[in-house]
Amino acid sequence: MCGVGGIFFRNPDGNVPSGEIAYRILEGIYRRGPDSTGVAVLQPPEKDLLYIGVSCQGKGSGAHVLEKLDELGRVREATDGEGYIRAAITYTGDNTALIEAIDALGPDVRVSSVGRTVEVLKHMGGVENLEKNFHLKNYRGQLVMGLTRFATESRIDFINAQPLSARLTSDLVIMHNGHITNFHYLRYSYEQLGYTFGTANDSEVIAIMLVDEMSKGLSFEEALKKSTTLLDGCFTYIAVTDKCVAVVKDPYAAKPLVVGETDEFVAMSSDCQSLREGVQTDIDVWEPGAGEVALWQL
Amino acid sequence: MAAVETLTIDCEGKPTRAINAAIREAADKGTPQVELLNTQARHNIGVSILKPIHLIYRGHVGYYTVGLCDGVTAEIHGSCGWGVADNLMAGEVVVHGNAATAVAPSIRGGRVVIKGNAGPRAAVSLKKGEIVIGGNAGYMTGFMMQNGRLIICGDSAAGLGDSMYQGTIFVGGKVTELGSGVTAVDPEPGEMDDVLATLERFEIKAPKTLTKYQSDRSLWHFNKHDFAAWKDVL
Repeated sequence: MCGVGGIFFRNPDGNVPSGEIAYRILEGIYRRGPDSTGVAVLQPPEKDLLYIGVSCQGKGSGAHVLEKLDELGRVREATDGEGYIRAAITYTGDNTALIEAIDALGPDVRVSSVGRTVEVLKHMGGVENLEKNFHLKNYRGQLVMGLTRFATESRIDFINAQPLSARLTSDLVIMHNGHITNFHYLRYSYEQLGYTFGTANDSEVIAIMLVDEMSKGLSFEEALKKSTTLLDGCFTYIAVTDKCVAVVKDPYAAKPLVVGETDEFVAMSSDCQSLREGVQTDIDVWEPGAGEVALWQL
Repeated sequence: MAAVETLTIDCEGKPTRAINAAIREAADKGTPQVELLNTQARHNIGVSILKPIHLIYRGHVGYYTVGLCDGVTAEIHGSCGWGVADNLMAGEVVVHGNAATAVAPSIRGGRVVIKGNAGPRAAVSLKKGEIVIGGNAGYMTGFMMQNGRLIICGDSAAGLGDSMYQGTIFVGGKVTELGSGVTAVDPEPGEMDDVLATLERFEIKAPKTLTKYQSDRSLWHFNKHDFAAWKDVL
């Protein structure tokens, strides 16, 4: 099933209770996806600074990851979330080399995302684990978008938890509710083109697809529109980049998602009740239609 | 005029079951009207009420509001989540805001009015009764409807009336694309007056023109020319 939702504020200056609101939204859709919960947040960009998220479920592997990160670059700030490391590192090398070096630490260790602005946090179970390990409620930046996962196609673990990114491209993550029925065909096709997949999750192919279409010259919005024709199955997904947020629905509108907008913010959720709980007002909502792409610039 | 005897229920902090039990008890006692405060987009408020009563919802409501009801009338002063008036047997539900997916699925009688816009699959499997949408209708509205009447004052997204068996659809705006087996026809004498009277009764501004659609009956029977296609499918 899965639930998706979150909030962003139109003013990029931040200092808004986005973490707290997103916490309540994700808490409200916990039963749609009790297996794991993850969010994408926006962080202030700085020269040579990377926000990196690493899944490392094995015992003690968090310490190895931090050691290795410090060897490759310089760890400025890090949190060991017991299974998932978030770190801000200064690093001037090539992203591919960084990802390969970390992935090589073991079969349980996998880079989840590398961003200059977009940071991914995830944990098993409900959103309270994001609070416990990463203090989500204290986050006061411009955007928090998340997903509560009900696993269908791949294992319940940190590696397959969402949000997912096309790891080689900074600052593009997706959160997908639904399933992609032509996933094996698409994945094989992209692997033939040289793309590597970091997870066994069918949703990852959406991120790779967007990257591939944009590499062929399409704009982000055009790539999103094209994805509604290339992907088979049911999907409502949220895509977040450093510049915009988008919601994409499949041509049958099989998966719910409502949006509430004010002059200050745009909030969304799979469930109107969770959205209301999140923003704590009787906000009016609308639902994007079948095959629709809704896009907001940040 | 004397005020109608009204039971007021503040939903804040009350479990859904307790709210529904209180409404049922009021209906059993013959209380004519229940006013529900602080509905806060909650789901399943006012379901399975099988005796006549009038419900007034002050605020937005969630999923399956007035679901599985018989003989209930309701006014919802807000927007509603999916499946409003699910399987209504008889009665009348008026939503003064917008409605999400699957407005009034499988209703067997009564009338459901959405003053605003409706999401996808409104009037899915409509069996009898009437559904009125003051604004625009989403994808696959009237999918597999079997009887009854659907009125859409605004535009309709693609797939309108797809695979409908019987019944009629009136649309004031433009239709992105008709569903399979649907065709535009001339209205019967007096039919249009009846539609306009309904709109007037609910204070919905009538569109300049309304086009009537119904099943072209092409899907009623197996066509042997389609055999090759079916062979591939099956």
